[in-house]
Amino acid sequence: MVNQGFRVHPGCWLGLLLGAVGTLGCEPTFADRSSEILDRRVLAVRVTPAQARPDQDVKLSALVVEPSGSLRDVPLRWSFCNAAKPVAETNDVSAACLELSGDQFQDLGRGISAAGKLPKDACRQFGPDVPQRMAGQAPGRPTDPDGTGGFYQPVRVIAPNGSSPPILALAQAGILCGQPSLTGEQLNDYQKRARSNEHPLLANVLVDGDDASPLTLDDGTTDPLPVSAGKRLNLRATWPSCPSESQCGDGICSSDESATDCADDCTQPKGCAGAETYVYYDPLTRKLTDRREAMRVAWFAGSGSFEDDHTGRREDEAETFSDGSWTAPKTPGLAHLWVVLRDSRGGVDWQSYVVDVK
Amino acid sequence: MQKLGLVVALVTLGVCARAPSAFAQTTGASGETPGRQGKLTKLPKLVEFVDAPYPESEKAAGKMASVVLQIAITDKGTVEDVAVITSAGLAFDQAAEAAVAKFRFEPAEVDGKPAPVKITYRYDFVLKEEPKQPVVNYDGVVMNRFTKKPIEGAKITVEGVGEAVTDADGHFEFKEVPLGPIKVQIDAPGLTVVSTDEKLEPLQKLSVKYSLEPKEEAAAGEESDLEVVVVAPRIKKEITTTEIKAEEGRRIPGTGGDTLKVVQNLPGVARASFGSGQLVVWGAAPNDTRIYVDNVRIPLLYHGGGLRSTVNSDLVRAINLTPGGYGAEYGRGLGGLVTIDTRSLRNDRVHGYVAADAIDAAAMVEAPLGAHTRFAIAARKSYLAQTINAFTKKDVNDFVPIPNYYDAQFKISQDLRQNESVDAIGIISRDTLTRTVSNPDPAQVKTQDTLSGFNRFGVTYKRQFEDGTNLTFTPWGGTDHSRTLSSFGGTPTVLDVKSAEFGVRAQWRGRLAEKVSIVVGLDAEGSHSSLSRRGAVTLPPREGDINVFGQQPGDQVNADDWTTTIGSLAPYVQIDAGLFDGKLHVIPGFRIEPFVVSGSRQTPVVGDTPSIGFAHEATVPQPRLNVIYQLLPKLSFKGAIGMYAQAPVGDDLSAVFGNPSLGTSHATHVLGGVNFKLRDDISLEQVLFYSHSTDLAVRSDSTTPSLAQALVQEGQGRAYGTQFLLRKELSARFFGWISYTLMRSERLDHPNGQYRPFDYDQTHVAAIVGSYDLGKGFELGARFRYSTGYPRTPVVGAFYSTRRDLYEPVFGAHNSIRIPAFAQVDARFAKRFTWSWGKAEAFVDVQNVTDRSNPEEVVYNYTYQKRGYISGLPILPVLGARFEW
Repeated sequence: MVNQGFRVHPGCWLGLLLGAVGTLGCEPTFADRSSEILDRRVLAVRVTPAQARPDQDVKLSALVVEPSGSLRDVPLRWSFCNAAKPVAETNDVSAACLELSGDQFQDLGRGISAAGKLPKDACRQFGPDVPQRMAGQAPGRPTDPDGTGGFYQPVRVIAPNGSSPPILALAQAGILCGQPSLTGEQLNDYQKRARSNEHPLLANVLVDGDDASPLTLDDGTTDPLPVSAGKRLNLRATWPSCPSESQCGDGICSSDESATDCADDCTQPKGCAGAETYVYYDPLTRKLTDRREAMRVAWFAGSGSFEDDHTGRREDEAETFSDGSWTAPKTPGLAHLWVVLRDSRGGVDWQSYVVDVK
Repeated sequence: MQKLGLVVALVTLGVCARAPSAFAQTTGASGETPGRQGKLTKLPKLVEFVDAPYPESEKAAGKMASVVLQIAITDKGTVEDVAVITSAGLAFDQAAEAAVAKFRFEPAEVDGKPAPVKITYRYDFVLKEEPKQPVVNYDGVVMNRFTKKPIEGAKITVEGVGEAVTDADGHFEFKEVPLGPIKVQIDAPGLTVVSTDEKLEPLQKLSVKYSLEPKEEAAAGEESDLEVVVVAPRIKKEITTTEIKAEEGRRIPGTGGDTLKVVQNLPGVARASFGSGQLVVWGAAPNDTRIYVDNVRIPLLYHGGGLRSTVNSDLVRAINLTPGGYGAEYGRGLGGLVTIDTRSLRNDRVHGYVAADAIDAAAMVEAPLGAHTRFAIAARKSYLAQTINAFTKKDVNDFVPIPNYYDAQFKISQDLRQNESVDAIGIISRDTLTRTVSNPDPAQVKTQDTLSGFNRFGVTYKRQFEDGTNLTFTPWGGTDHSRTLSSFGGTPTVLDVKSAEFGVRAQWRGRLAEKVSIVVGLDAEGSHSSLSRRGAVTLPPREGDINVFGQQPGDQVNADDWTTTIGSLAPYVQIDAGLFDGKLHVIPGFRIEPFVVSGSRQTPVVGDTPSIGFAHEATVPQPRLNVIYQLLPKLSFKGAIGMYAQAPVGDDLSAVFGNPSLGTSHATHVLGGVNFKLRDDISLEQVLFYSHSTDLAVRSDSTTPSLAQALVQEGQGRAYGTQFLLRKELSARFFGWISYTLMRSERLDHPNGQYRPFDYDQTHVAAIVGSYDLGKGFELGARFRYSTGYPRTPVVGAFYSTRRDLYEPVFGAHNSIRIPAFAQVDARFAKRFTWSWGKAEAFVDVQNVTDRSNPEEVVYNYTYQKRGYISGLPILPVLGARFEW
């Protein structure tokens, strides 16, 4: 397991040249790239809706790929993991969720997708509600939210992997639970303005800028885009723009609109499929503020290579696109690409593409 | 103070040959006139007697004798011939003949006229004690403890007897000192007046050697008897203390001339983790070791990255490391004790220095202000980032964090009366580090903005009385500020701690009886802190957290702001009883310490609910006992046992991130050892130690921890091992040491768990350090270090987190693997230039001479399937220069 083939980081040589001591160590750079699909992998899981209330129905689906393309019919094993995470553990989910079996799992069936109801006590187990008090013990500690104020129900996904050990992936379904520690006034304000997260929409992946044609979807309906072997493609992943200010009638029920004052948008509330603005409770300042989602693009290729594995936009960047570049392999043939778009609140979308390398 | 004199039994027996009285011995010799017959009308009369030397061989044998001689006297009265009539042995005969031949007489008369005659003469040799002369029964030599050179002009006063002054050889002597105990005081310009006790035995001369520290090197507040060293090893109250002189520390390779960095090479100290500069002593957590500068506690010994110490080396007389088992004078720490003594300031003229290397520049000025006041001011500023940026267009911060720091110190000394002074010191230290690692992936953007600093001001009043008792009083105060603002993977971390720190230490040392001294003191410290924190509970990480270097932190965040006030007031007493002529020292001590801990929030904020504060108190008695037995002049044994307590830190008292109900943690130290003095400047020490800690704050392992109990006080720790030190102190041209520590340090996080290796455990820690003065200003030093790697928790698998699009590790047994061992050779070559008006030094400090690749930390690829190591620096020469006047 010990890697012998890493390169010495340039900072190490700087240290040598300049006489800096102590802080300048030499860190190995591994050659592995997350964007390179070398074998079967689970790249994303989507739980719809992106945020759901306890006991609400949710649908789950996954993007499972191999170098040769997406796998559309893999008997994934789905289950909720109801084990709370001890505060001492640094991972996102409890180590108990990594076990093969146990009472902590609620089976959701098999297949490339699944469905189920979020547990009724999800907000108590994984949210801001005070956990069930044990006899003779003090009230328990609620779960801390993530950096966007979100809470999540762990979902375990096990993908068969031929003769190799199965692939373990842990997804998290967003839970609508409210926020802890709000004052009465803040609670009213929050309930009025909070909106369920909407999954983002990966609108297009364009080749060579805005004017170029979109990358060919790998759905068999269109001939793949021909690309010369070894050629570099500049790609741009785009998503919808979200209004910076509320505007009744734009089809989006923003945080400043309600069914009362904008029935058109909020009778059936619908969020924005781009970088949404959402209400955030800052536990340090103890104030409600508006924030915008950060967007993150993950690039994957069955052959060829991406310059960056991930790109994206910070929450202070208003652009609705993110650029990447892919260099075609030198060997002719079909090359499969995948792009996964995530917002910072757990929403996700993806697309599969194919390129004909000539 | 145990003193052992080289007592030479010199018994002087007064021997003399009583001057024989010719007349008294002249027998009735009849005159005999040669040549003619006549009537003897006058006997010859001896007018000039010559003393015959008593033959040494006969005198030594105690023989007495009489020689009968026939003397032929001329008519002039001179001796013409001598003949032995009755022999007493050749030696006596010859002596008598030679003496008698020089006699002169009034000539005899025959018939009224001078005439030659012969007489018979008996010469008596009689042994008789001479009148008793004053006898030297107490002498010795006074010398500089460090240079080993004699001190001339030192005044030695024996109470009730008199004074003596040392000569050019440092020698002094007293005659006819009354037998029994005597009180001795040693005083000289440039020396701290010190007192000691001696005892004179019948028929024995007490010969001693006093090794004294010049005043500018004397320890602040150090008891006077600790400064007197009488041939045998110095006995210290902190029986495992290793003291390094500033002059030694500055010459250690790899330290860049920084005296205080030498602590990391002393026995009992684990090698600091990569670039951390942390002090891990006898398996205690870094924060469990207390650091004092002239009785003023400081929070940090080193700047960020461990590059430099926070106190200027040129103000330091010595640094003392006591890994454990220290006496009742100190407390509040479960681990070791580091005390830094600043030196006395010179009063002859203006001194100063400037120094620079690739990392920073420093300067100091020291000057007298009148006859009784002296001051020094020093400052240092780093410019490493600027240096690097001057050589590259790239932002090096993308690769590595470059610390930025400065510090400044001042000291003012005011002499009041003889042996009475006031010293004021001030220390400022700041560390900042700001960087942003840009990345097209917003989740990989790293920002870091840290600040760590402190200010201290303290005043020490010292008075040493004529009877040897002394008093010190040190009030001090200051502020601490540490701030961490960082973001990684979208998880913000904010920790801001501002504290007001204050303390008072008052101590009186006196004597209860002839061989019993006592220290009584009061040690008070307190802090009031305002804290603000945001981020994951597990950030910043604490000992025992299982994670991987570089791993993205969990993204569950919370926030809290709170205040704490923590203080304790500890009266203490320590008695040093010397038994069996001072061979056995029993040093019991007792410290009773009421801790008060209070804070502003007992539970997390919920809505508009007002915060409820908390306060709790715990009084912790801390008995301690040190025993030292001087079996032979050069061989001593020692042992210690003691109980220690430590208040919780304000960071841990958060209702969100910690536990406001945390109380004091406790530890017991037990140690025993032997010290053998091969020579005055070469010693060998071996110590066995064991420590056990309880009530340590650890993270709750519950999946449903109670509110405001993210930390619980269930942890235990134990450390045991042995340390070895063979040391050649600085004298003549060479100094150095070999240290080795074999140790095991473990933690038990929860009662139902199992002991696991402590995060900072290092089984083997060894160092060989040496520096040799080649002459003509050239100096060469080398250092070899070896240490076992720190424990790490292996990654045995990984899973993919689809929400955050990253792999997360699955861990194996806690701390069950180790980073490979560290071994490195460093070298230092320096050239000193000396002029009448100043001196300069240029040096090159070459780290990792053999260019060995030393693994410093474990890292994994993004899937955690491949493991690699961050390695330390390759061979690295660091140039520096220094000029002083």
